[in-house]
Amino acid sequence: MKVEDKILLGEIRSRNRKVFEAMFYEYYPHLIRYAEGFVFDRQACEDIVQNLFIFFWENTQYIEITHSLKSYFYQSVKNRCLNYLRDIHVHDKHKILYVEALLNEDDSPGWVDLEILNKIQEAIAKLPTQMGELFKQKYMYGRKLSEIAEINNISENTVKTQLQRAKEKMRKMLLESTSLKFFF
Amino acid sequence: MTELKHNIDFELLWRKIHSHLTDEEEILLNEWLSEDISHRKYFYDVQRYYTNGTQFTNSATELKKALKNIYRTIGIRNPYRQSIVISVTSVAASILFFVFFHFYNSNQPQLQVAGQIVQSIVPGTEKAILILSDGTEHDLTSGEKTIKAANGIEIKNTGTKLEYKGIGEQSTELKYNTLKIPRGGEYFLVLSDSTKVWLNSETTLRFPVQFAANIRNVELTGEAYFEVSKNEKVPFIVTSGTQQIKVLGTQFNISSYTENAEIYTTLVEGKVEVSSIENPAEKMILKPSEQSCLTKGENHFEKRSVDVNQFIAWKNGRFVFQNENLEDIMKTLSKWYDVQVIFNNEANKKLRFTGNLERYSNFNEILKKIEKTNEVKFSITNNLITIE
Repeated sequence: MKVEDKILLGEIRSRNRKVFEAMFYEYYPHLIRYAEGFVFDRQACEDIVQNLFIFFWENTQYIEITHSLKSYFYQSVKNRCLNYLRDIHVHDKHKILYVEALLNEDDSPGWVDLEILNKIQEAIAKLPTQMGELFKQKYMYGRKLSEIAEINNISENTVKTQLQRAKEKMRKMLLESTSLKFFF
Repeated sequence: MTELKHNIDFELLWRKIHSHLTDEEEILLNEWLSEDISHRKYFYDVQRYYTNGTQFTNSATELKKALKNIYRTIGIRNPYRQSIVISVTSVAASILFFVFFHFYNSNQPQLQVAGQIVQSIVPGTEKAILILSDGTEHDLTSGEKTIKAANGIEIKNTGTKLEYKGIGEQSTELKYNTLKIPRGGEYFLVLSDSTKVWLNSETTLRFPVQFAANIRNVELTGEAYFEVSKNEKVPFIVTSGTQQIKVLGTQFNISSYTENAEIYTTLVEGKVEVSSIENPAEKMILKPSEQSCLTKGENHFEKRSVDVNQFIAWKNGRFVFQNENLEDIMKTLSKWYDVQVIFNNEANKKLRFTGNLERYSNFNEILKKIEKTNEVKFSITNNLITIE
């Protein structure tokens, strides 16, 4: 766990409401859209993400963060969404929801799920080199647009357009494949 | 009895929206959708999301509201001044849901319709009138009741289904009941021998309260789907216009409306013999997936192989049209939606369409889908549909 995450968690444990609020503003807007990519219903998204913040506040003492706060939040939202889907009898066998939710989330935490990582890499290999590289930095390493722009010495707008195209190509690959299993 | 609900793989929903499904998958999806309103709501939400994108603006107001909700539960004093917000969102959402739900089988994003259709015409519902052998009439739509029929037979009505139960004393004289389905109606009937009959709009079925010992005879005008219970010793005979069908135990659909020149019989399962009443020598055996057509006045049968689903779709809550002309399509629709149709241009009657539509959609949605082809335009005044 990163030092800053440790400090933040310590502050939450000592009931620092200001830090909690800052964390809310940092993560909530992204998490709500991430949840939307799974459950799609406005009320359900709000319930899931807000309840997670409530749970986080009330159980900070017992929460174990293995990787980072960010991945903790994303992982928890995903699990809660999958529980919700289970109750309305929807399965995501091929992880389509997972991929779509990540593609639609600007502040992607990166793919942590190893199971689909390989498949994603196969698909990335089919993208033009630079596009694939940007896609990897964004969706696999979870880098911010500004970071990617800096590293590659291109403008943020170029990154945005390239990523947009990469996403479209990815989707097209899905459509063209007779079976989704090639991708997922 | 609570039925166990099925799970659906999201892949099916995804492909329904982004590409296509096989017929089998289409059936799976429809079954799942019909199981629960939460399933339909989910599919509607998915579709809207992939068309319109996110619903969250993440505006300052939205975030403040969310934070306020969280604070309310964890007992931190709300740092923001309480503001009075009239909560209309959930009401609006539910209205939207009903408006949009009917788009669910559309593959493409909705196109703008040139002429806005404002008025809403609702689909038909379970409606029927039962006429007993003594001439008394019962409106079955008014809900549950048990009606005493002749011969000690009990008739149970649930508001959607009419069932004849129990064994009465055999009498030499058969007592007949008549079930009348008006325009914009449908009903489900279980006869005393357990034969099931789905009756479509503008249909009349006359049948004995209890069948005779050696023959089961009913008379039909309109359209009905029969699932005849098996009894090889007692043939089941449907008389319809100038046609007679003899069966032993099987499933078939008859479309025999008085205003149509033809009587269509479509066999789903088993074996039936169709014959002409005016010329008993004219007869034909049908095998599954075969359809006979008797043209009135000609006493001649024609037979062809058909996709059965198209002809029994109405019973499963759909309209399936395969290269059918608009005149026939409108005839079918007008019975279910109880509307009158006028063609301003005769040539439009011959336009052919193919489509698979939701029978319980509002009429406007159906018309919009036909309009999307840009071939015709509809205008609605009360219950009169004019095709420009």
